[in-house]
Amino acid sequence: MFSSFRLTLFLFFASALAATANTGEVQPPRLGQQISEADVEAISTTVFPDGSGLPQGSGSAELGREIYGEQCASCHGDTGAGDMKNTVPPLAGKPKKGADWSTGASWPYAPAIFDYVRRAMPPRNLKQLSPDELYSVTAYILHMNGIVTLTQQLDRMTLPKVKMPAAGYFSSKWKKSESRLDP
Amino acid sequence: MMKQPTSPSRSEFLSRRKFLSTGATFLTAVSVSTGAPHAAAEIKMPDSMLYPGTADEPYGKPSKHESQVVRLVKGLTEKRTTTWSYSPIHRQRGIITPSGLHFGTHHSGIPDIAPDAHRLYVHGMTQKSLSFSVADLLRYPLSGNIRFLECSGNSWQQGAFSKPAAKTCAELYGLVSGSEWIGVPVRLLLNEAGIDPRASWVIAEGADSGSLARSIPVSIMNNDAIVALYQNGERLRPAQGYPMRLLLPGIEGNMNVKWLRRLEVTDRPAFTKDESRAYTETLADGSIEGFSLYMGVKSVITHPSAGQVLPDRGYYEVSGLAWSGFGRIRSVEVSDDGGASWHAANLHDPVLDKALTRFSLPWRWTGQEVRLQSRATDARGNVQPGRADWRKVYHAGSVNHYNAVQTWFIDRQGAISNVF
Repeated sequence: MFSSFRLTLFLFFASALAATANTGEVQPPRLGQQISEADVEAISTTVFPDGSGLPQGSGSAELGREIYGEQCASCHGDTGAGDMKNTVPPLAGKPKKGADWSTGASWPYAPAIFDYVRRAMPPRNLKQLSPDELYSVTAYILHMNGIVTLTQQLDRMTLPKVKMPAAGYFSSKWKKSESRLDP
Repeated sequence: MMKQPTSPSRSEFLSRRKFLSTGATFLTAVSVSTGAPHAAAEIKMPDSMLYPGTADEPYGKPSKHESQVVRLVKGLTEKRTTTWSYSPIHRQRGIITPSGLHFGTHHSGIPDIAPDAHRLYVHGMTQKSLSFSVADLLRYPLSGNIRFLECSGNSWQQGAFSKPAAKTCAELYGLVSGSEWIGVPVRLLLNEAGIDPRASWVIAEGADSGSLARSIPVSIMNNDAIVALYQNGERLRPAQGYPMRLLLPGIEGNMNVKWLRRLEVTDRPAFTKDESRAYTETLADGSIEGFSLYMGVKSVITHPSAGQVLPDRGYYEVSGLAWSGFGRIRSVEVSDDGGASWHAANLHDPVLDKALTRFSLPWRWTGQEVRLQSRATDARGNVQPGRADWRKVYHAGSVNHYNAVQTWFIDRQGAISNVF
């Protein structure tokens, strides 16, 4: 049993030990500068499957056909067949189930097409297409796959509602098993 | 798939005792002098001992006599924006890849970014939206470790082709490398921004021309993820993400976003291009499996390996690399009879979590045909599958996350090739 003095001594060393342990988790400097709401909006370009992040604007495959011809066809081909020898993936066509699935057959969510074209396509005219042009070229890619009609209007409300065939045969390994692993 | 009993029959792997006894034979053979005892000396002093050397240089380079030790670069074409740089792993020893020989898979080229102009933004489901300069991040507690990094498409040819491609070890396995990566733990930055407890994903985006973006679970970010600033003791090379990249130990290469500019905290993945098709697999039933984040346990014999020719019969040290995204390598076994018998290889120190691990075993080539293999087991008990077992999981032509046992075939002339 501890005497009062020994208990005090024990508590003193215990708290000293705790302080030592705490020094391993010293508060790091907090050097991040807060940015404005306008800046947050400007950099928040991710488009999610539910369509959040999509901008105002609209387009159709009819309008997109010309943009595709000018901006995309030289690499992806008139029919969207791609050119895998140059690592240009096919945009349209039936599943081949190997490495060269087409976009139409393998992407589970249509808004991701808008997202990717806005980020990265075409490689020599980056980030130049307007929202209307992006909706239109997205519509044309979907049209080449028989997923939307030529005149169907796509915008921030309708694009997320487009049903992609791959939504029925896409699964997440993270969700199925890996998320249950101990880190 | 536990270890099979060691067969004493045809294997020419040398146990320690066997090595010492046969080694003595080699040594005896070598030590027999053929020179006449009283002939005039023929050994001359080399020029390097007769003339002064040159001055050192501010940043050293490899010897000019090592100019063949380079990466195989599959470059840009008018149409191709995706490029690969295969690391010459068959010429490397130890577990560290020199930064200039680190593999690369690039989708939009390599940007040139001035550090003073670069910012990292942390925002989304956070209390505050924050901006960090490079100088800011350099003041945080820096940590990290030696880790492997592997493109999920490494060894893609083995999945793509039904017949074994006539490729070298570097072409088949060179999209893996090992480095010491040091940086700021991501959790410190997420904590500073005040992450919403309902958040479960972070979208990481690069400042490259393709704005490469991947969705990463918060649990991985809060575990051992860092915003890497240093590779092998120096600031990152441009091709490795200068001035900063995400480094997610054990996780497929593409998610280790380079030129990191933005961490957007969210409650769902974005299904970006690279998680919609490019970095997914086709399962045997024809369905697509994405978000396969961990790199499976894998190994390859680098010495000797395809593209090389054994110059002579006799002693060789069989050596290679093993790694697993799930943790440490527990053991590596080797076989020289196509898997009929397996022999425990020596693991070289250090054996680290989610790092390349060097293994070796002394061996003797008798001049016969040989099927040389290695099979790794990690700390979780995952065992590298045989090729047939790997193929049962995936559809023909699915290329990513190939981690099956590799077979190198040695013919009677000593030429080594890739076989299934």
